[in-house]
Amino acid sequence: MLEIFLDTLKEIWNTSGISAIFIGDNWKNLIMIAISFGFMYLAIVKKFEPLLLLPIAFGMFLTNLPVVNISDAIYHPELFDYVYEYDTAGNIIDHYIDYGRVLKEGGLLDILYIGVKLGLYPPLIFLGIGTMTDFAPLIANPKSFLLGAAAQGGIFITFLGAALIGFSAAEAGSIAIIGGADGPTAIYVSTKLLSGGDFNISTGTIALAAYTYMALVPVIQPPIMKLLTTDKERKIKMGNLRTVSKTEKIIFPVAVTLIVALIVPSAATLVGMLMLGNILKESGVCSRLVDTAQNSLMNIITIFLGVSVGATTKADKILNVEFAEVIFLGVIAFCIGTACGVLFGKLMCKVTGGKVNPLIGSAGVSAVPMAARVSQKVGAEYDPTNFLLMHAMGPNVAGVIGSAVAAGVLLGVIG
Amino acid sequence: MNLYMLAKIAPTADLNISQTAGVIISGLSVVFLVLLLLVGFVSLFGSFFKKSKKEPPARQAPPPKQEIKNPVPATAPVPEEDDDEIIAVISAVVAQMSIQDGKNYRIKSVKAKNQKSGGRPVWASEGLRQNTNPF
Repeated sequence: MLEIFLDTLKEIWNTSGISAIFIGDNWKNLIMIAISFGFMYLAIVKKFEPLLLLPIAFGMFLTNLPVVNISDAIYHPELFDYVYEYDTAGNIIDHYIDYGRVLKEGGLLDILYIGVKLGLYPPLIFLGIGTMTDFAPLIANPKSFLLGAAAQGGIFITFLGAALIGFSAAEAGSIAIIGGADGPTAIYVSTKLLSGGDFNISTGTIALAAYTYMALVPVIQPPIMKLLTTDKERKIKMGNLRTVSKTEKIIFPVAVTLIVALIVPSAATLVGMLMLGNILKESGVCSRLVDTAQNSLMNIITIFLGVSVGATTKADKILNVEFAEVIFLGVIAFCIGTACGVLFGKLMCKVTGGKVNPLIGSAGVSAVPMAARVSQKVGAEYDPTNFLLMHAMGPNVAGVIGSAVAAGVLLGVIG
Repeated sequence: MNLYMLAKIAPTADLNISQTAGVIISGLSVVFLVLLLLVGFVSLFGSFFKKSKKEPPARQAPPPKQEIKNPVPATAPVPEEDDDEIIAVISAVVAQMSIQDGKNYRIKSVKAKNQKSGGRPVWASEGLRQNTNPF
């Protein structure tokens, strides 16, 4: 009887997570769990993009719980490995992910991750964002589009930095898109680019860097904005925006989708869903759909996206030099994007004879509405009667379109 | 321009300078091209809508004058910006400063500063300031 008791205890110990810590490199999982606690702290206490950062952090926590048997793991990245088909001469003729196997052998997080792998969640989040976005400031001042374009400079200049460090094309594209300051776009691009081979970084790495820096926009941007503008420029007051008619607001999403899809087809999914959400809102006849898209659907997808992306942050994919490089390049991308926007704002200020406050240029990096709020706050620091918020919302929503177009370019060129 | 016409770079390929420069130049060009097209289009239909708004409404016959037999004494018309109210607020602030500093201040004159306020009345500006302050 004692023997059975001791065998049972031994078996429990051998299959426990505690014993798993001492197997191979599993001790690294403890570091990852500590990092996940750090992100949970940032989300809960510091309110850093909590809606996505908290599910990501918890996904990171779950996926790094040490296990002895791989079948006990909560997430199984090996299920998403490519299956290769060869011809009689041994040449690869096709490769694909066996989603049937994922459904048969996978657990909850594996099945939720299918939505990330197929690129379903980011466009659905864009649908929700579209129902919450007011493009009126952009329609009233279409020149704001140019600030949204200029701020994408951060993406392409960071691409150069990543290439110089030695990242492959797909990795460089995934890192660069962090500069777009748009979480769903970053996840969408990195999932598509990083699915075709064995890479040193994962979508989870990109998502963590993107959401952390998006939360840090109020810290990162103001010093750059102040450095690149003069006191006089910061105090420029911009005239009132004209009223935009309902017809204009309805034509806008159709026109943007048409123009973007014709020129950059690979951006059509993101932009199309953004604009579908917007036309549902502006039409005024789909209130039930708008309500679902901006609340229930958005919340469900946010949970699925966050926890499944967090689950990809296995210790072996994060605890490496490449992760540190991604973090470094991510902040560089944000800084350059902000600087490009502000510098283009200065150019527009000169061209228009001082009618444009360059501070609104920094809002071109997406991060809606945080970046626009930063423009307002910095402007109000120098003149409390200066209201830049609505003017900054133009480049801010233009940045969303601009980063989706930039994403389309990267997906079109690399692959 | 269709991006599929550009040479594709393999995802796992190490980038050389010409490929990197190609991505940067083509990327920035396409982003600016698309957004410039959108600027043009939105400006075009914006000007069309502005014009259609400006068209003068059809002339209507003036409404017939109504004679009021027993006029009710009307209240004084309320100006858009009540100067007395503003002066009262300024006086209150100066009085508060006087108490805090222990000095006597005298208001000699109150003049509107010649600056742009976005065409907003003072109270509207103050309301806007308070609303945007939390941001």
